[in-house]
Amino acid sequence: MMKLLISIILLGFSNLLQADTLVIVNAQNPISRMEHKQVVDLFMGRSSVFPDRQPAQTLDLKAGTPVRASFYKTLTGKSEAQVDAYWATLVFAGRMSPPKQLTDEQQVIAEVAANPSAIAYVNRQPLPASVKIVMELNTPE
Amino acid sequence: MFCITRYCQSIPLLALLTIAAVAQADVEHRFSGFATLGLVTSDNPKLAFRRDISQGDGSYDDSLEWRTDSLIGGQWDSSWSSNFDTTVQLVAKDRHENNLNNSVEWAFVRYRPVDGFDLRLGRLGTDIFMLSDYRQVGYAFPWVRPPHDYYTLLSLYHFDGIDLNKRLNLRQGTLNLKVFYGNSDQKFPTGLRSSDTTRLDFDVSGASVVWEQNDWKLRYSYANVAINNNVAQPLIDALDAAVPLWPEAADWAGMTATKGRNFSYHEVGFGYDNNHWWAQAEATQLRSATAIVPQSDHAYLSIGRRFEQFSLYALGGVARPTREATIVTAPAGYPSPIAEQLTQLAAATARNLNGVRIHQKSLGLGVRWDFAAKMALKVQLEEFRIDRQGTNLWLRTQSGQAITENQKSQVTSVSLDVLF
Repeated sequence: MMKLLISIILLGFSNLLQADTLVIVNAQNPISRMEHKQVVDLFMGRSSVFPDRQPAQTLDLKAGTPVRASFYKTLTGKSEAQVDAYWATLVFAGRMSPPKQLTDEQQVIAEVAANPSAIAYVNRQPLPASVKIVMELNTPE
Repeated sequence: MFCITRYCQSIPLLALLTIAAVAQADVEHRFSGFATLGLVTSDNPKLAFRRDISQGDGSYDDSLEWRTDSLIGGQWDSSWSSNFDTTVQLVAKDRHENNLNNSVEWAFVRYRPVDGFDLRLGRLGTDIFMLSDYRQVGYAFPWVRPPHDYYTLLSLYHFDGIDLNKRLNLRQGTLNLKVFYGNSDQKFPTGLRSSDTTRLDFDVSGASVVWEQNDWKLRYSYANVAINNNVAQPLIDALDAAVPLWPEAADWAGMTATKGRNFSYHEVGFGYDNNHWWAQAEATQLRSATAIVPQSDHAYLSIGRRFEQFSLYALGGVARPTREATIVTAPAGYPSPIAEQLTQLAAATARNLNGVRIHQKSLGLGVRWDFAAKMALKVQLEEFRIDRQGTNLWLRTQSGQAITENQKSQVTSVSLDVLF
């Protein structure tokens, strides 16, 4: 009984420790898993298509949103300021269009559910059947 | 080539009209911008500090200048279909010749038939150096301004023409290949707060290769600039007229000519950033077939370290001429006033040919503080050493007086950079 209790507590902790960020796409998207580099290429403006060459629309949260900072930090090791500076080099050089920016996670989920080419990140949470997870990012600590 | 040149002038307009014609489908517009509020002071009384050679004013003798680095830019991006985009960027800043045409930095149509292949037509950035395309976006680079010894001379901001970019996403990294061709016309001031200008009309063509892999970035670019006009036509006319009395004047006229002459850049660049430490360096060899464009080597190296929202950096640069200074001697044995006139002509020729020389080096330290989202505050201290025969990146405060001794200047800069 005691052992069970401990393992339940530990399980709870391990879930807490993995304050995960999920990378999601529309449920109709044929892609089921994505590699780290493929996600980096999309969110850092080095690609505008999914691995199957279908066009991808990246969605971003507003600067200063906690999940945004943790997503980019975990994905690329860069702070939000670094990511914004990096994107400024692409956008103002007229090379790439930046991700579409939305104000909160509910908007993001709704957009991914409605747009077959969307890709976005959200905190781990219950998700509607109209979206699916293609990568999980485990935030260290 | 020349008829292409003429058409290029109307490409931005043409581009927008084309777009207006196809504007029907699911169109998305996006507005964004960048701004810098900068203050700079330089302590040398004889030489005024400027950010690039298109500026006709600057700080000297500890005066405080806000126009050197301050600017505001706005960009309008539109996506007309999955293959067609347009971008228009306007920048307001201190320019020698400030008008709407010069304020349009970019105005182009981009056609992307497949991911990784871009064809752009219109007014485009000159992708000759690492920062070329975003040198006005202070937030995008670590320093107050692009390294002075390197970027000051290289003030070709944009051209009207075409470029083709191919990106290859390989397993280990990303390879970018680009070719470009176009025309531009730019006026440069000839002195401090002077209304006199030098106009340069040129065709630029070139190619760049950029390799990015993890923390590393390497690039090489080549650009050739063909000049379409004679920058110093009155001097050439005067020298031609003097040939019967002074046969050597024909050689000097030849060296002063720019029409039909070329200059070229070979650039190598390197960047490293592991999110804690970063380094960036570039070197360029400028080769020139005319004495009016100073043949020179330029290089800089900067190393920085991030501490949370602070970044500390050191910066060093050098620019040196790769052609000897010219000595022009007027012929002897003519009576007055011809002798005086020939002496004046010889002096003017020497001033023109040597006045463009660039010979300087600098060392600097700075800090960048990302104190809020999309806002950065920077402080930068630099010391420049300028050879008496290489002051062309600066403006002489007393145009009549030659600089007879090597110069030194301490430059202190503060800037606030924002994105919006």
